[in-house]
Amino acid sequence: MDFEEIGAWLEKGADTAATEEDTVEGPTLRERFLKTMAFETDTPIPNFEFGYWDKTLEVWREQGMPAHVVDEASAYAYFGIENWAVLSCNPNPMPVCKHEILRETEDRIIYRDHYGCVAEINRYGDRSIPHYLEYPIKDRASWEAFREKAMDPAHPDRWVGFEDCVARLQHTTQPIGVHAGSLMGVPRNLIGFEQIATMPYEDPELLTDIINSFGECIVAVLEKALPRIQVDLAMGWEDICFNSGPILPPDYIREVVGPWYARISALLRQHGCLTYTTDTDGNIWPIVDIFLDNGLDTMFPVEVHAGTDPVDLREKYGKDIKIWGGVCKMRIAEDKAAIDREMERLRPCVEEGGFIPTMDHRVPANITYANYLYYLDRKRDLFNIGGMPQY
Amino acid sequence: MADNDILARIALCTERGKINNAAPYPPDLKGEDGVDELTEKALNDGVDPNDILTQGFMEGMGRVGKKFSKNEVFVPDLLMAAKAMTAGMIRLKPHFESGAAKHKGTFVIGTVRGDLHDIGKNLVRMMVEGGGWQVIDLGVDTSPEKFVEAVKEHPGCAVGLSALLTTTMVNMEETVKAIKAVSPSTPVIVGGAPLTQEFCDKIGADAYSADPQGALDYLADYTAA
Repeated sequence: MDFEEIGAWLEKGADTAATEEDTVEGPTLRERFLKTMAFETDTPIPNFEFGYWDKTLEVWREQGMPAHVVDEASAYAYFGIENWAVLSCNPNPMPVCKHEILRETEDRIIYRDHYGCVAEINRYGDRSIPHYLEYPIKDRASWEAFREKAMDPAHPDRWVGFEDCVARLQHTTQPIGVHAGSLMGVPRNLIGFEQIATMPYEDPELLTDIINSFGECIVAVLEKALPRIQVDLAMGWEDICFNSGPILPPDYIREVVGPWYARISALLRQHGCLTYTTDTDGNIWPIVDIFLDNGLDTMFPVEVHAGTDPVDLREKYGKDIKIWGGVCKMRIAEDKAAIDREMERLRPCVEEGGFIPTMDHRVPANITYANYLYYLDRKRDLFNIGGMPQY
Repeated sequence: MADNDILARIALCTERGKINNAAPYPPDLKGEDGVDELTEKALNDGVDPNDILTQGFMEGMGRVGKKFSKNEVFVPDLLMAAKAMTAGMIRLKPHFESGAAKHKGTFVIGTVRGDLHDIGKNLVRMMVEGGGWQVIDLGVDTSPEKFVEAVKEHPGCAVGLSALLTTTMVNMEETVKAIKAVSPSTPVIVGGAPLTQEFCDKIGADAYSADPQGALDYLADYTAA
């Protein structure tokens, strides 16, 4: 996930009307979500998924998927994937400049985004994650200039569409989500991977100042938003784990980031929101305890090939941990037997509750259309999953 | 300080990421000389540059790499060690140029065509450099032709291919084939988040490594064989 994904997530707040209808009879999707995350297993589990890489739908159309399935919304409708609504309020930094294309080559587009990052993407083929070339935060002076423009918790643009969204969601049957911001992932994108990774050792004061500023914005936004409507889930975005663990030292995360998770989770619970998660990607084992100790109780997307196996998480933490994701995309890319084995492997954990099985990241194009359909059907058959597909 | 003592100290400072005297990290070594000063001192004392490379930098990087493989330390620790080693390598550069110090070999690395990601590739580059290899970094979105050109330019080299995405890792096969067509004996190592040993075998690469240390271990075995 990158800035564009965060933007898409936030934009869901302005586009929930189209998906508000429930897709199964009986308990509403919202009720099913709350029961699932409360380890109650008497209703169908929400049929959530992570989404698709750019090329996947294009490849699937060549493999027989109907031509009218052209984007995530039409794919979700076709496959019977359910969705949650999102409140229109933004805890992230405000734009500091205009998004502009700086130059184009035969195969690349080089642009400056609205945070001042210069990046390049492929003109053709995979465009999922940009390659960053220049970062806006280079030192304390550039951070202070950025903070001045971007980090005002009271900035009115954080609330564009909020009142309409609150009114629209009063009687929704979907779970209501709120964006719980980013304490490390967005700072990483603004500072640079190698630079931020060594800051806890070389300039911890500056990094802590940056993280605290992000935390203050998140708390300020949630304090204003949460009293207005009952929120069911809060999802942050970090993307800070690789196969080899986190990009910041776990001790530093515990000391500096942990207290913000604790403060945010306390605020959420005070307002009855009992599911708090953040998108980490990768191998989270070195920091799971930090999440759980500070009230971030739901792991997402639990990437199996990176080393985060949901079965192992559940074995170690029992019902202290909730899981969202955890179906290994590598197995789904193989064959029906491998898909069956993967689903059977997860079945006992899913049946315990507190587990929404989804692919453990966006669906890549090496998973065939036939395999994906088989995966969805098996998920529905084995796990009592909701949703009404059109195929 | 005896040769062995200073080499052990260089190894320790490399492992712990102590760049130089002014560096605040690690706190328990604050105010003490780091890899930069220790390398200069060792050279001034007449220590063989090859010993500094093998018993100092390689020893220190090897220790941190092994800890990284076991999740005992993390990316920041690896990066700090690489920074410290780089400070010392700058001191050794004239000795490489004069032939007094010798690299273990040449390693050509790049992210394959269509893929713009470089974090994993950069970590491998640092570790392999720390293992005493000369590294030719071809960058991101590297075509098979560019790899072939580099292989021709550096006879006897080993090659590392990186990819982050399942959609781009398929481009590794084409690159492996192109390299093997012009130089069948060139060892090709592949790595990246979605890769597996099975995929490595399928595309005809020589080795798969799940982490930077694994790449270095393979290269060590390869040169020893």
